[in-house]
Parts: sequence; structure tokens; C-alpha cells
Amino acid sequence: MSLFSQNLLFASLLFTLFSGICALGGRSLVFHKLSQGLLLVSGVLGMLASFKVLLAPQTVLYFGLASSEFFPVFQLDPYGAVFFLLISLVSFLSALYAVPYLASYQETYHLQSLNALVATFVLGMQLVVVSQSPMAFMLGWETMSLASFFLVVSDRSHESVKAALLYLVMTHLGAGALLIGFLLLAQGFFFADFEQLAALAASAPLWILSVCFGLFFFGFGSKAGLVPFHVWLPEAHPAAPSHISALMSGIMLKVALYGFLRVLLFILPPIGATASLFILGFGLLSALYGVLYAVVERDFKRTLAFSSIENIGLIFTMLGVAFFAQSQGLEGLYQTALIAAIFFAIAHAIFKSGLFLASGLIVRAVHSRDLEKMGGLARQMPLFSMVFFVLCLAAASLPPFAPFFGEWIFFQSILQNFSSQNLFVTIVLILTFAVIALVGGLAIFAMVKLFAISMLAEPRSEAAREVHEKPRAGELFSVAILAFLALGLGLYAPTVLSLIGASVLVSSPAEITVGSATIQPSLIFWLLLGCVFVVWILRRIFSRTAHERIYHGWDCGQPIDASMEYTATAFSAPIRFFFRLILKTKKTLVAQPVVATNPWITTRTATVDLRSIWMDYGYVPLGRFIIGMAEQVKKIQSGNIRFYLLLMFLTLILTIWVAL
Amino acid sequence: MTNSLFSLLMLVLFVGETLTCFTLMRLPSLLRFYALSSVALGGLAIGLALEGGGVHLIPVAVAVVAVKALLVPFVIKRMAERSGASLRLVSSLRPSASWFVGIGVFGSGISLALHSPLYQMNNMIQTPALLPISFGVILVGLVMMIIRKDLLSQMIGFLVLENGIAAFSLSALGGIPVAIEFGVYSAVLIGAILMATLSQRVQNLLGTHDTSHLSELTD
Amino acid sequence: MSLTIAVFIQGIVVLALAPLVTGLVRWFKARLQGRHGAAPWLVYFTLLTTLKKENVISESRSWVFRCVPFVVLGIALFLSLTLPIVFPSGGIPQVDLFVLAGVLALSSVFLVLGGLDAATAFGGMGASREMTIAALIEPTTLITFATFASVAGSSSLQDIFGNGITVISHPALLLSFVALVLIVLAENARYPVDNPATHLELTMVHEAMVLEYSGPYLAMLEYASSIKLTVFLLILGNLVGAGLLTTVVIGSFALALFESTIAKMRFFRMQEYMSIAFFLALAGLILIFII
Repeated sequence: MSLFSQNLLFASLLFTLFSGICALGGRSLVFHKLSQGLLLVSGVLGMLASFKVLLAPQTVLYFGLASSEFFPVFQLDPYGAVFFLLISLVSFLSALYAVPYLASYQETYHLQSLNALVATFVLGMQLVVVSQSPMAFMLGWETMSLASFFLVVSDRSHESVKAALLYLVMTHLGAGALLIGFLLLAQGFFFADFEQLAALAASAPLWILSVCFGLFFFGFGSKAGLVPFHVWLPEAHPAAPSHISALMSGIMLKVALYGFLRVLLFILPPIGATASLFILGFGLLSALYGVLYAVVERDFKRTLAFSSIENIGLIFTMLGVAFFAQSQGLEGLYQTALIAAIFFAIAHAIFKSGLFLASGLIVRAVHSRDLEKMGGLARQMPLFSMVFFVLCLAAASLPPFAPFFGEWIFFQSILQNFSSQNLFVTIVLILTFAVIALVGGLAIFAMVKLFAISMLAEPRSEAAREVHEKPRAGELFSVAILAFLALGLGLYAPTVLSLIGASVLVSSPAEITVGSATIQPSLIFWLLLGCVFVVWILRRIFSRTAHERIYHGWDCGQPIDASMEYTATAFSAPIRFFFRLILKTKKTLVAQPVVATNPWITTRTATVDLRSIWMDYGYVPLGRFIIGMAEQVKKIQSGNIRFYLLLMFLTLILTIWVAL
Repeated sequence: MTNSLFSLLMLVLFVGETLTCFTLMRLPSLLRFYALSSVALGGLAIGLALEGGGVHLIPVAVAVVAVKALLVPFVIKRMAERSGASLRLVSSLRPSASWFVGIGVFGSGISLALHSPLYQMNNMIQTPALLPISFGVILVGLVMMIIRKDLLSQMIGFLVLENGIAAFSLSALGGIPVAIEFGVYSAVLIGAILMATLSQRVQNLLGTHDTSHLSELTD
Repeated sequence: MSLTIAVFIQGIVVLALAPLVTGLVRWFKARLQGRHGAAPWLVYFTLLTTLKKENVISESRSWVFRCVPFVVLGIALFLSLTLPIVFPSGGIPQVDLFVLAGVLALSSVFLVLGGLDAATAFGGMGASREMTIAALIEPTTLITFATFASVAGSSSLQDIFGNGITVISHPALLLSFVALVLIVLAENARYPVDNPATHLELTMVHEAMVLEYSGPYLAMLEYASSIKLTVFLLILGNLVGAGLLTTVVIGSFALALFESTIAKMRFFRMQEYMSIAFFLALAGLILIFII
């Protein structure tokens, strides 16, 4: 049995590989189904392997070829097992989803390459999580990045290509930073493994550690989607096929988080207060910026992408607080905040994947990603809308779902640590508390907007009026599983939290009763359910259910139609107004006279333009500067051979002179 | 060193003719002086071989001389005649200035080489005196390629560079292995043919051999 | 007495009192404005008759429309059961301030969805405004409760409100009390945030969301808002240290007086209101640790 379990990990990776190879078999749907089936098996095996490692923390699964110095050993330790479980789960569900979903998109996507690339992508992520040395890590990282680049380009439209190129640039800048960081730490010896790196880092000078921290922060932060390195996320995630967006947003961002924590927890020595405040600051910035843009966005998948940015910001805030607490000596806060961050990351993976999978179904039904063209889908797809509703409530961090308990743990631990002794710590914690509370409130707004505009009221376009492509069994099932998991994770929060604690913290895990407060999610859930049930019973007793009439809505006696109901732009208008200094929306109103004789009869066109301040004030000026410099340097390209020869001569003389 | 006088004579001839090449403005005389400097180099090689006892090097040297002194100038002159190129070459410098520049470059090349670690380890090389001179010749060839405006004399400059490299290897190693020698010289020959063909095309297209007109990319 | 009986009795008391509180507020307001006013116990009859009326349902609605009144009233019932407002030990200890904030947010979410489901512009407008108010008041709510929790030493509502913490336990709590009053006004759709008695749709926030409901559903929603108002008034009363009946009477009078003297704010000036509330709460929290 142990041989079997030892090989579970290897088998899981092998099945992913087979899935990729099988996908290239041929055009027919059989190969598509076969490759997704192999991916399913790989997911199941991966989940089994992770459970095995998590539940018996002493076991460590590994495989490696002959112990040559250059071939990396892959090992699944408890910390990696948490993330491996996530990867296996979401890839399992996305494979289940992809079988009917891609079958309906056969003309748009080239199924063979798409499936092969998905398998490569998943393989890359699995390799990252099981690698124990920088070389293996970067191998997996690059596989993941390149595969996802090609996945984003899948539908070969102009905007997908632009988005994918932006993504490629950012991800390679990040990968370069990571490589430099690893090499700096390893002092040039690339074939060290993480333990040797940790030993080297313990004796490294401070400036090297600071530079490495900055590089790792940029590398992992840009992949995770932290502001201001996030510019690729809102472009790339909507452009990819929906189950790929689920994989990217659900797991790839978590793999970046895994890498960041692997470096901070297991390699670098404890970072000081400045670095942790740095993480905290960027986390808060990302959370605030992400949620504001999620609220005002009108594209379905872009809203979800910005919501991902917000959640990653939240996770990084929790990490920042954890490391800040560590630097101030507050061990309890450190441990609980760290556990809360990972718990929230797991919850985010679950509900965000579910939301993106659901978005695929909605976009397919309405043939558009624009929220302003949706509406009334709850009447056409009632079962699906219930599942989607559960996911939206979970995404809004409302009780009794999982993300609420992650935030609960975080807020509780902060609250316990307000004290009059250490005023600086208290002020930092209070400000974090306030900003996260604001972000939470706005996140609810964004999710309500998403659900209400797409599902409720009357359809706002012809396509939404008659939906021909209803969700099929496999698709609905995978989304429903994720919705149940979002609820279940919340109900079983205490167990999961202690499991995470055991796997992440090197020392003994803290109790998950924070102070005198105990977390009992099931009590709250059953109490809420009970109250609603009592109300239902009472209503049946005290009034007649049959006494009702279907009629128009309250329309003041006027004939109203679907164009008069609230749109997403209108719904988010107050937030756009209240935060106008940050959002910098550009509103232009053009009035054109229709008749020459009467200037008062005009056609008016109103355009509301959402600007990205990071692009406008950050990236575009930087890009212009770099291109300007390049134009200046281009002047030496005169075309004259003799000039080039002269340059070569001068270089030669200079080199020899310097060398001597 | 019985042949040392011979070697010295060859060395002086080599250097003198190379420097003269730098300044000549007519194609036939340029080619003649290049041929003479190659012959001098070949003679130098034979002299050193006789000193060092590698008699088998003599046929190699003779073949080399044949290629560089006879074949290459012949090819170039034929091509130049066929393309109807002007035999008056164009340079950025007037002859008198180019004398000064040539000697200056040669001198700086020698001084640079004198500082090199290779020269410091005197015991390793066969002919220590030749090393700085060969480096000087290399630089002279490079600068000749820069200074001259037309294609054919740039090619000659490249050939002078080749000569310098051959001299360098001669001084540092006592001769390059035969196979590499032949490889290098066949490259030189083929290079000469190619450049001659190219210059003919350039002449047909642009009516001049001046390479400063070759500065725009075509579609 | 045992916990379950205490909770049960507390729930009954709050459920019974809730319509009376609404009626009292209206009666006081009428008297202050020089009108005779309806009797305070008329609200009971209004609710009972509304329950028996015909339920007119919009044809544009979906399944969410029907769920909303049940969930909102269920959450109001949850509030009345779990907050220690009548008996000091009458709350459920596992419900703490974050759960309270989350549950209140849940009820707002359902109301908003109900407003949007009717496919009318009124519902949408009310929903948009209500969601903005709920989102912007959330940091203030959490900070105010956190202030009280810091003084009480625990975050369980049982310990905060049932423990005998009053406004004078700590000088900074006065600021937090004012912030809490502002929160209560915002949560319950009272002046200056919203006018609960308006019939002009463009000035409605809460009323616009329930505009589409009729019959039993309307009764449930009205009852739910009465329960919420009662619960919050009793919390405020607990903090001041008053008894049950005193709180009900004096609280209703104070609210009616306040509403008669002040005008409703323009919605687009809400950020000022929210900022004042937020900074009062923040100041209260910070001062706890400085003083």
C-alpha cells in the first residue's frame, strides 16, 4: 500500500502529461473527452496524495530520478499539499466542466492545442508546488507562464492577442526578477535546493536580503496581481476561455502566493517591520483599488478579475499583518493571521473558480460579456441561478460561507491585539481594520451588482430574452460542487483551520479559539436557517398562500419596458460619484443639433469612460520614456558599414585597455 | 640564428608593405603591395620554420603565398576590370594624413601588445618580437577598413587583418595547424571572390563603389 | 433560568413590542407636528389586515422575489433571539459582533435584490442607494462595535451589551455612542438618511425597495423593519443603562423629536454623513488606547 501511496504523486503528474499528449490525437471529440477524462483522474489522484500528506503530517511524498546533482527531486510536503489539493480540485472540476463546454465552442477554439495547453498549464503548476529547488521551481513556473500565454490567445481575436502580449511581458519581467533573486541568494549556485538556500540566506548580508525581498515581492506580486503590477490581470482573465480563467484566477494566483510564502517562511530569515508594512501597504492598496473597479466595471469577467485583485490584496494584507506581528513579537497574531490568509486563499480559489465557470455559461447564453446586455436569466436558468447566487454570496464574504470565516478569524485576532502598550502597533492594526471593513462593504456591492443585473429583472437585450444554450449537466454539476464547497468549507472552518495550522507553521499551531471567542459556524448556519423556516411556517399559518395575482410591476400606469430598468452603470453610479477623485471617470456629453433651423432639438450621446489610473499615470509614461530613449539610441543605426566598424574598433581597444 | 637576418629582412618588408598598403590610392598598386607583403609573410614563415626545424612547413608556406599573393589579387583585379570600376580608390584621408594615421595605429597596437600578459610570459612564445608587430598589423587592417570608403579596399583591409592574425599565430604558436591554415585561406579566397562579385553588383546598381551609399534597407 | 427559555422569552417580548415602537414613533411625531395622530397600537391592526390582503406579484420577477421577505424577517427574528437586549444573559454567546455585521449585511443584500427584481426604475434606484449606504456604513459599524468590544474585553455581543458596559464606562465611548446613533439612523432608514413616510419615489431608499411587495410579503417586510428598529433602540438603551419600557418610550420620543427637527439630506451628500460617522468612530477607538 505504501508503494501505491508513494506513487500517487508521480501518477498524478503522469496522468496530466498523458492528458496533454492524448489531446493532440486528433480532431474528433473523442480525444477531447479522453484528455479531459485523464485530467479528471489526475485531479483525483492529486487530491488523494494531498489528503494523505495533510492528514498524516509525517509522510512526505517524493519522486526523483537517480540522485544526480542536476536532476531535481520533487517532494510534496504538508505546506505544498494544501496548494496541491487546490490545484487538483479545481483542475478536476474544470475538466468536468470543459467536456460539454468546449464541445459547444468547437469552431472558436482549436480543441487539440487548447487541451494540450491546459494539461501543460496544470502540469507546470503541479511542478511548482512539488519542487524543492529553484531550478525545478523556475522550470514549473515558466511552463505555467508560457502555457497560460498561449491559452489566453486561444480565440485569436485582436483583443486577446493584445491582452496576452501584455501578460507575457509582465510575467517574464516577474520571472526574471525571481531568477535574479534566487541566484543572488544562492550566490550563483543554481543547483542548490531550498534547504541549502535557507542556510545561505541565514548568513547573507542585509542588503542582499533586502534586494532579494524586493525582487521576490515584484516577481510573485506581479503574478498574483498586486497593484501596481496588476495591469495584465483585467485584460488577460476575460480574454481566456472561461474554464481557463477559472484555473488562472483560482489557482495560478494561489501558486504565486505559494511561492511568496515558500520564500518568506522557509528560505528567508524573518523579515523586519519595514518589509511587512510594505506588504501590508500594497495589499491594502490592491484591495481598495480592486474593489472600486469591481464595483464600477460593466464587463462581467472584468468585474470578476478586479474582484480577484481585491481578494489577493486582502490576502497580502493578512500576510503583512502576520509578518508585522512577527516583527513586533506578537506570536499569536502572527500565527492566526497567517492561517487566516491561507484559509481565505483556499476559499477564494473555490468561489472564484466557481464564479468564472459560471461566467462561461452566462457569456455563452447571452453571447456577450457586457453586463448591460444581460438580465432575467434567473427565470430562464433557475437551477443555475440558485447555484450562482450561492457563489455570489460567498464571494461577498457573507455568513455562513467560507470567506466570511477567514475574515472573521483575521478581524478577531486583530481585535485581541489592540492594546494601550504598543501604540504604533495598535494604530497600524486599527487602520488596517478600517480599510478592510470598507473593502468588505464594497465587495458586497460588487457581487450584488453582478448577480442582480445579470440574473434578475427583465432581459436587456434580444439575446438574453431567449436563451438557447442552457447549462448542461456536467457544467452545472461542477459549478454546484464549488458552491457546496464554499458553504461546506465555512461550516467545517475550525477543522480546516487547524489542518492548515499544522501544515504551515513550523512550531505548534495556535488554538483556533482566539481569546475567548470560539468559532462555531454550524450554529450560526442552523440558527439562520431555523429562523427562516419558522417564518415560513408562520406565514403559512397566518395568511392564505393561494390569494395572489400576477400583474405588471408598479409602473405608475405607464407602459414601461426593459430599457427603463436600472443598468450596471446606473447601479454603481453613487460609488462612481463618491470616489470620483480616485476613479477619474471621464464623462463626455455630445449634443448634436438634428435640424439646422432649431438648435434646441439635439441628439445627445453620453460616454462614460473608465480610466485605469495605473496605466495612465504609470505604465504609459514609462513606456513612452523607454521608447523615447530607444529612439535616441537608434541614431547610431546609420546604415554606414564603416561607422559600425569604427564602433567595433573602439570596443576592441577599450576592452583590451580595460583588460590590461 | 643563421636565418635570422633573412627573417628580419622579411619582417621589415612585411611591415613596410602593409603600411604602404594603408596609404595607396590606386587599385593595381594596392594589390601589388598586398601581394608583396603576403610574400614577405610567407618568407618569414619559411625562415622561422628553418630556424625551428619544421621543414614540412615550407610547402605550406609556398601554397599560402600562392593563394594570397597570386590568386586573390588576380581575382580582384579581374573583377574590378569586368565591372568597370574606377581604379582610383576613395579614402576619407589624404595620403599624407593616412601615413601618420597608419604609423600611429601601428605604434599604439605595438604598445598595447607590449602590456599583454602573453607578451610578459616570454618563455612561452617562439618569436617574441613578432607578437606586438602582428597586433599592430591587425589594428592597421581594421582601421583601413574603417577609413576606406569603397568596397574593394575594405576587402583588402580585411585581408591585411587576416595577415596580421596569421602573423600572430605564427609568433605565438609557431604556425597554425595545417588544416586550419587551409580553412582560413580558403575562406579568404572565397571571401575575395564573393566581395568582388558583390562589388560588381553594387557597381551595376549604384554606379559607384562607395559604401556610404549602402545605408538604406530595401524592401 | 436556562438559556433556551431566556432566549425564547426575549424573542417573544421583542416580537410583541416591535410594532408598538413604530406606532409610538409615529404618534409622537404627529403630536409634535401638531396633528392628532393615529393611536400607537394601530400598527398591529395594520399589519394584521395587510396580511390578509391579496398578494400582487410582478410578472418580471424571479424566484429571488419570493425568498426576500422570508429571509429578511428570518434575519430580524435571528437578531431578536441572539442579542442580549431584554435579559443580560439572554443572548447566544457564539454570536459576536462580526457575525452581527455580516448578518445585517445579508439582510440588506436580500432587500436590495428584491428591489431590483421588479424591473422598475424605482426599485433599482432604491437598491442602488441602499447598497451604497450599507457599503459605506460598514467600516463605521465594525469600528464602533470594536470600540465597545475593546472596553468589554471580548467580542461576543453577550459580553458587550449584556455586561453592563455603559456610555460612561470610558470617556471615549461617548464618541462611539454618537457614531452608533448615526449608524442606527442609517441602518433603519430614518432621517437624515431616508424618509420612511415619504410617498415620493425619488426620495425613497428603503421604501422604494419594498414598493413592489404587497399583502403578506409587505406585512413581513414592515414587521422586519419594526423589529430591527426595536432591537437597535434596545441596544442603545442598554448602553445608556435604561430599562426596557423606559427605552421604548424615551427612545421613540427622542427619535420622533429628532426627525421633526431635522431635514432629510440629499443622497449625494451622503459621503459627508458617512465620513462624520466614520471619523467619530475612529476617534473613539483610538482614544480608548490613548486615554
